[in-house]
Amino acid sequence: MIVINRRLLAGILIVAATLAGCGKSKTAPQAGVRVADIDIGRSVGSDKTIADKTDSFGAADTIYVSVKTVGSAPTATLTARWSYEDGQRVDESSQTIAPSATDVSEFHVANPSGWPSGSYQVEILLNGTSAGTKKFKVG
Amino acid sequence: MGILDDLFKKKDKPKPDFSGVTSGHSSTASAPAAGGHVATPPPPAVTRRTYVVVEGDSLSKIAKREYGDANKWLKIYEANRNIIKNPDLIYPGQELHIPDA
Repeated sequence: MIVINRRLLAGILIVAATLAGCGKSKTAPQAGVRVADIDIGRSVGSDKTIADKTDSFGAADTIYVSVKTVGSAPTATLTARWSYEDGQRVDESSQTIAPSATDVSEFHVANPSGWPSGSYQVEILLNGTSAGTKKFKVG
Repeated sequence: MGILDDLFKKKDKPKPDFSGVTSGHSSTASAPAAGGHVATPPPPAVTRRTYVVVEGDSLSKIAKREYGDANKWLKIYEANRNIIKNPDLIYPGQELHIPDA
């Protein structure tokens, strides 16, 4: 009887500890600025958000990536690193901004000689740290 | 042979050329101040006035005249510690710095 009670007590403690752990936030709130959303498409509006989201493009398309940032900082550097399926670097460009509250930044690439068919990806970096990746196809 | 031909064909596939790719960017966020730092306003210009002590003056009298408050004599005294050894003793002809109120 004593053994059963100890086992029961141990079980209760494990369940309680698990529930307590679930209640805690797993990510600490970050100070400064963070990337909240990344979208890709064929065009952007005046607010820099993607007007027509898609992950499938034609060879002649200009490809846009829109990056929503939340938070404020005196300065922050956003980088868009575009690469082809074989790992070849297509393009990389950066812009330094002074984000305040919510901002949207866009990057775009075009290839006058036409995009080769295949899979591509664009990786967004915030201050040199990867903030997300979007994959897309051409052809 | 057919398989080998296929393998060689795949191996010989030319790498796509992205040298002609053009790119651009823009943002709703403003650009940071030059140098990547937020501009700090320049410190206010420090104006230093002088007052030449005349007979019958005291620091509190000068403070009353300059600041409208005799109790601010200490401010004048602190600004002129190199000239005034004793705040109760100032002499005609002494040139005192009058700091901003």
